[in-house]
Amino acid sequence: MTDVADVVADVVASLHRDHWGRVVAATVRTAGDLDTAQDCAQHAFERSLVAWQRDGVPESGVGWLVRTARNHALDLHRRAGSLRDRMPDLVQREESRNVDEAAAHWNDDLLRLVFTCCHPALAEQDRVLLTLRVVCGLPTPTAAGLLLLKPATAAARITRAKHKITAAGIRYAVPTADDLPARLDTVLEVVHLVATAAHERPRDPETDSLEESSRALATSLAEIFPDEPEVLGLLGLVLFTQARTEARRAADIVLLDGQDRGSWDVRLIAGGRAATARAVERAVARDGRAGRYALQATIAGVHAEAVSVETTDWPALLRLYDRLVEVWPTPVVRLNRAVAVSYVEGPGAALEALDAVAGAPSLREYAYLPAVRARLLADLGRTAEAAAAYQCAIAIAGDDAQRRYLKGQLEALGP
Amino acid sequence: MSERYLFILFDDESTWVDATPAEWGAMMAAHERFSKAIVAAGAIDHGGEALQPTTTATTVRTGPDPVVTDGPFVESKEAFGGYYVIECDGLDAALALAKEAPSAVVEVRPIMAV
Repeated sequence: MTDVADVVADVVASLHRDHWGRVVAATVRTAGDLDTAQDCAQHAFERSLVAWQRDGVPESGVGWLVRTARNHALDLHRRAGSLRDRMPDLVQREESRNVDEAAAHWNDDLLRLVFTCCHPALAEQDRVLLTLRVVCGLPTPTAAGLLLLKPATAAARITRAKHKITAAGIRYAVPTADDLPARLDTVLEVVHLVATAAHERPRDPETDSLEESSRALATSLAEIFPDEPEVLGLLGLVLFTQARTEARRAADIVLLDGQDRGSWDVRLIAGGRAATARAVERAVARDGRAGRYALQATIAGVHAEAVSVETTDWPALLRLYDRLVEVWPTPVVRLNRAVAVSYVEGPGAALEALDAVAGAPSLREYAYLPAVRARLLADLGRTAEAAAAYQCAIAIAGDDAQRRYLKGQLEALGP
Repeated sequence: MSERYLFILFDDESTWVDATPAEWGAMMAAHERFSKAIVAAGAIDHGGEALQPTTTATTVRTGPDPVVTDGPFVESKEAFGGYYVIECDGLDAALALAKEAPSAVVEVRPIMAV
């Protein structure tokens, strides 16, 4: 008996993680607005826990959830007496669609929802919040935590953004062909932001659900756009990055030194490898120029394939960073390029490359910059300056684990 | 021949965002009184609209690479120089037109359906 309950709970949890957005998306038109669609999806997931223990798990769990959510939406309209006011042909068309299809059947709906939540007329922070809350189904406090907001502030922002969608006439639609490339970039930015921010958080169950959500969304997008190099590149990047989540701790504040590569997730690395290879293949077939995500994924792949920092193919990485700087010349990219320079051309050349970006305002609070600087200075035998740079890194380090690691490095410099 | 003038109304948005039905009714009545005062003064009322609050605004900076941002236009060197009232199918259609407008910056504000 308990076994059945456990199995059903696991199935529902996994459907919630991978397909919440599809259930909400497929219900929006029947429901009439995002809030009602979310409530109906919530109702369907709650019902499934009870119904599936009694009747067994249906063949298409997503289909069952969509049907239940839509029926609940229709019930709500009937109860409110508003069904007649809604376009009946629309409701009918949704009802008659086959709800026993595989989850991919709702990809078009999911895409409409994603494009609505990532609309450029919404503030970037609100796009992230809406995507996490509405598309990924994460609780508001988890979404708030990612952006370092108070839950009440995040809730208010979500409400305001939903109001803007309605009041300003943001349509629940996929953009026109003209707008699609730019709008897809906006979506990829949101997914990348979630993945990156989750990666930088300390490990806890909320970080896990943020990582799982960004992974599920990147996977769905790659399923919907199987030929878009940058979509595939982002998936590859997300998978490679998350493959070393378990190993990542304070250790990688300076490169990947000291990580236990044996604990990297082999399954995610394989997925990252496949997505990245296809991203590069599609980019070459299109115009021969890989974009930022395809390049970043390839870089992450080179790290993932290396047995150790010493056996990493640094000349290849430096060539990749040179190309990344061309398409995505941010201070962080230039900083990472300087690290690659240190392994290929030595600490002197690297320090020069590093100092060229050191003044960037976006790096002012970035402990990685003085930490790298300290290591280069130490390699050059400039111990006193290295110690000062470590002190500076310790002062702005984000968490205790980072600070401990940096203090260790500082002590290792000797008196 | 007389001149024509645009009246641009500024208020603390909270006065209508948080208005109770009674307060709302009082504001509507005030506008009706004002419309009558215009006519009583021998002037012509060419019409006006209420706008949705600035939280629903979107700003488009035009040019070869137009930039769409959330929120109202924050005045810098550009000044309010004219307006169009456009009816179209949703915000995307409005933004596409705004990008074509012969102006450096266009703030797109939905008009309230009263």
